[in-house]
Amino acid sequence: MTPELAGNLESRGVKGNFKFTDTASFRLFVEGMKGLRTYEQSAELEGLRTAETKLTKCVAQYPRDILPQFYLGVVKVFRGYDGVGDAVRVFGTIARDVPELRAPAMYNLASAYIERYTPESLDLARDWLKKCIAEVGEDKSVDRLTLRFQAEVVLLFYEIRQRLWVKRDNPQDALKAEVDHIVPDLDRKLNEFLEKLNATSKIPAAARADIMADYWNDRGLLDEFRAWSVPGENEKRALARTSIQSYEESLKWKLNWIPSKSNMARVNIDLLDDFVSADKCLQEVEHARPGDDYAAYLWGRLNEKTGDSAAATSYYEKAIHIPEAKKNLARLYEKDRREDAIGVWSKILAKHPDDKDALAAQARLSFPTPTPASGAQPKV
Amino acid sequence: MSSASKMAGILPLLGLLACSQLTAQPVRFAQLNDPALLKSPRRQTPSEWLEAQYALACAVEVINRSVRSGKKLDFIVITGGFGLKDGDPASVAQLIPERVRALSAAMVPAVYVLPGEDDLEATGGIDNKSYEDFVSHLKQALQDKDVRDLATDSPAVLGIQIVGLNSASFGNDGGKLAQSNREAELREMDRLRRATAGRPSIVFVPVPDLDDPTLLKLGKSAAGSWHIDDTVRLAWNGLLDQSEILAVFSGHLRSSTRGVYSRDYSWTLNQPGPAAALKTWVCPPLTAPSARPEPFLRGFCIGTVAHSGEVSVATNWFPPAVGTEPADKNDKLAEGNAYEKDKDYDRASAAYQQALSSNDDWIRGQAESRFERAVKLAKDRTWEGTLLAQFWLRWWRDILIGCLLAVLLLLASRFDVLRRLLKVKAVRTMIGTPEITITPPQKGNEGAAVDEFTVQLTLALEDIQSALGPDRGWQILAAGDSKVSAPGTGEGLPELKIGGVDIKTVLAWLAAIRNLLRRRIEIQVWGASARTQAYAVQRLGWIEEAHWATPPPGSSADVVEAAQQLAYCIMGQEYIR
Repeated sequence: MTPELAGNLESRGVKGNFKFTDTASFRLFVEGMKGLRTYEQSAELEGLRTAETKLTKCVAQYPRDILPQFYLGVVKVFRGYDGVGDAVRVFGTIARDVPELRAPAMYNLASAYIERYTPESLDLARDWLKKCIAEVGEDKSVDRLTLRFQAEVVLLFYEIRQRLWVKRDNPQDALKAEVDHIVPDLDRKLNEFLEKLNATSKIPAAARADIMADYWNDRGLLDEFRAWSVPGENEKRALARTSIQSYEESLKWKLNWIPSKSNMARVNIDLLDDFVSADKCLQEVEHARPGDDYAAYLWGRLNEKTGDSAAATSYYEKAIHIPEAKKNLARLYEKDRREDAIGVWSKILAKHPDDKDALAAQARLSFPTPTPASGAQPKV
Repeated sequence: MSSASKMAGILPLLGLLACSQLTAQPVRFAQLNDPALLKSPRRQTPSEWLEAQYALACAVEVINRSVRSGKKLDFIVITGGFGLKDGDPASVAQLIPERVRALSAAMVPAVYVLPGEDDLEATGGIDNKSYEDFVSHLKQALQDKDVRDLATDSPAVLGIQIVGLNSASFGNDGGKLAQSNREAELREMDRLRRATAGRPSIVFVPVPDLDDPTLLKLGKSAAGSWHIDDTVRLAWNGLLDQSEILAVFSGHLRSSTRGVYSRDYSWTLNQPGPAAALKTWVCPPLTAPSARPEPFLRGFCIGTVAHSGEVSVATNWFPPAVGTEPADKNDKLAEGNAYEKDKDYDRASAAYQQALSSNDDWIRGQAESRFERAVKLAKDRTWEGTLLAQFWLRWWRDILIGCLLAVLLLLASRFDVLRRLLKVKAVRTMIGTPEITITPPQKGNEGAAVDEFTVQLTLALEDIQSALGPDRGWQILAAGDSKVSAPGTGEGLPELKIGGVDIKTVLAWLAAIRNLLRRRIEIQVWGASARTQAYAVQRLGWIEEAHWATPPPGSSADVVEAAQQLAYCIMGQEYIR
C-alpha cells in the first residue's frame, strides 16, 4: 500500500508541505476526511466505511500523495484488529521517511499496536509512545503540545494496565505491594496529568476531548483494579461502580468510544454480574465496529458466565488472537474436545513456555484426575 | 524762567540722550591674526617672508579704505600669531618699529593684542617675559594709538567690554600639561568672568575651542585645539552660556576651506555645543605656510557687534581675487548654458540676451556668440524639436520606469510572487489573511440554474472547509493561505443623496475599485439543472490567475456535481502540486 514516500517531500502548501497530484486526488481525500470526521463525531460505521473507501481509492490512484496514506492509516486503526497490520506498515514508513509527520506517525503507530492487544504489541506501543514524546521534545507549539498530552495519557494507560490491571486476578494477599505503592503512585500521576492539562489553555477543544476521554478511561481502569483487589463484596461492588462512572465520563468526552464501552462491559461482567448492561454495551460496540475481537472475547466471557458454553466457545474462537480468549477457549475445549484443548495449550506453550496456566493445563491433561466412576473396581 | 535757565535744564538731558545714543552704537573693529611680524626670516620661505611683509600693509590699506568711505572702526585687534616663538628675542626692540609701521598708519584709534600659541610657551603657563616685552615695545612704537594687552586689560568701547582670553596654553601639548596648567587656566577663566560680569562683552580668544582642520586626520581626541582639564572646560562653557557675552572671536585655524570660517561646523569631529556654535566666529590668518599643494586661505575680518547681540562679520580674503564677486551677468551666461544643454533654445536665447547688457567685456562677447548660436539652433530644430520628441526627451525616464514596473508586475504574476510572499509569516501578519471573493454567479443562458448552483457551491465550499479544519489537534492540514468567501447577492448600498450627490453611486464606484484590487472569482453558469456547465475565472486586478470549466470538457454533470467540482477546484488550488 505504501510506496516510496520520499519523492513527495518537495510538495508544499498544506502544512508539512504535502500537496495533492490533482483536483481528483484532493476531492477523494476531502471526501475520505469527511467520512472520518463523521465517524469520530457520531461513531457511525458508515462514516468509517466511506473514509476507508475514498482514502483507499485515493492511495491506489495517487501513490505519491502522502496525506491520504496517513489518514488511511488512522482509518485502519479505527477498524481494529483487521486493519492494524496495514496501519503499522504505513505509519512505520511515514515515521521513517517523512520528518514532518514523524511524531504523529509514532503516536498512531502506538495506537495501532494497542489495537492488536497482545503483551508484545503493548510493549511496542509503549516504546513508540516514548519515542513520540522524545521526538516532540519541549516544543511548545500547539500541535506538539497536544501530541505530547495525547501520548502521555496513553502511556499512563499502559502503566496502569501492565503494572496493575493484568494482575487483577492474582490472590489478594499477593497484591499488597501494588495496592500500597503502585496504586497511589499512578493515582498521583493521573492527578498531576489532569492539573497540567487544565493549566494549558492552548489545546484545541477536539483534541482536549480526546485526551479527557483517555484520562477517564485510565481512571476507570485504575478503579477497576482497585475493585478487584479489595476483599469485601460490598466494597468491591462500590469500586466497580466508581470504575463504571469513570468509563461513563470518558464516553461523555468521546461518544461511543469502543475502548471505554468494552471496559464498561467487562466490569459489568466480571465484577457486577450485570449481564444486561454488559450485553447493551457490547451491542453498541458491535454496532460501531462489527466483528470487534475484544467484544467477541467479552461476549465469550458473558456467555460462559451465563452457562452457554457453545456460544462462548464460538466467540472465543473469533477472538483467538487475544491470549485470554485463547486460554478460555482451551479450557472450554477440555470439557469435550480434549485433543483440540491440547493443541491450543501447546500453541500457547510454544509461544510462552513459562505460561503457568498452560503448564498447569498440560499437567492436567496428561494426568487426568480419575472420576469416582472410573476409579471404582469393576464388578465381577 | 529765563531761556538760559531753560537751557541749563535741557542740557543734561541732551547729554544723557547723546550718551545713550553713543552707547547704543555698535562696536566696529578689524580682527587680524597670524601677522608673523617677528618671525625670523630663517624660519620662513622667501614667499612667506614676502607675504608677512605685505599682508599687514594690505590689511591696513583695506581698513583705511573702509574708514575713508565713512565706516569708522573703533579698534584693531590682533589675536596672536606674532611669531615670537620663532623670532629672535634680542632683536625685538629693533624690529618692532619697522614691522608695525603699517599699523601706525591705520586710521584706527586703538590696537589691542593677545598672545597666540606661537607667542608663548605652553610649558611656561601664560606668563611670558618675551610677550610682555613685545607689548611694551609695541606701545612705544604706536604712541599715537591706545595699545592694550587684552590678556591683562579689558577696555570698554561704546559701552561694550572688550575682553581677551589668553588661550595660548590651552593646547597643553596635546593634553599632557592639562593638569599642571589647570590652576593658571582656571585663574584666566576667573579673570574673564569678572571682566564680563554684568556688562555686555566681546571676547577675543586667539585659539578657539574647535577642532584644528590640520589635525583631523589624527582622530577625534587629537583633533581638538584645546586639551584642557574638565574643570576648566566647565568654567568656559558656563561663561559661554552667559548672555553678557555677545560673541567670541577667534583665529589660529588654518584651512583651505571657507566653511571653517563661516560657522559651518560639519567638518569638525568634535561638534561644538549650541552656545559655542552660536557665538564663535573664526578669522582666517593673515599669513600662512605656503608649502602645500592646496594653499591655506588668508584674510582678516571686520566685525560689528551691537548691544543687542547682533553680530555681522565681513571677511576680506587675500589675495583679493579670492573674494571678488563674479563678473556682471555671469549667472545669466550659466543659465543660458544650462538651457542650451537641455535643448531648450528659447529660454537659452532669453538668458543670453540678458547677459548682453553685462558691463564685463568678456561676458558680453560670450553672450553675443552664444545668443546667435541659440537663435540658430532654435530655427534649425530637427526631429528633437517636435512635440513628440520633446515629450519623449522630457519623460523618457518616467516612461522607462513605468515599463520596468509593468514588467516586474508581470513577472511577479508569472512566478506567483504575491502568493509566495503571503506565505511569509511576517507579511501575512502585516496584511492579514488574503481573501478570495466569489462574485455572484451569472446566468450564461436563460433558464440556467444559477440560484441552485450558488447554493450548492456555497454548501460544497463550507463542507470542504470544515473537512480541512483542525484535526485531532494536529494541524497537518491548514485550511489554506486564503480565505474564500462564498458568493454574495450583491452589495447592500444605501439609497442616499447628500447635497445632490448620489452617495450610492459613489459607494458603488469605490466598491468596484476595491473589488478590482481583490482576488475574485467570476462564474458563469450555462445549461439547466439536469445538465449544467460552469465556467469560472479567478482574477487579481486585470490579471487572470486561473480558470476552470466544470464538468471538464467531454463529460456532463447535474447542477450539484458541477458546483461541487468547481468548489474542489477553487479550494484545491492551494493544495495541488
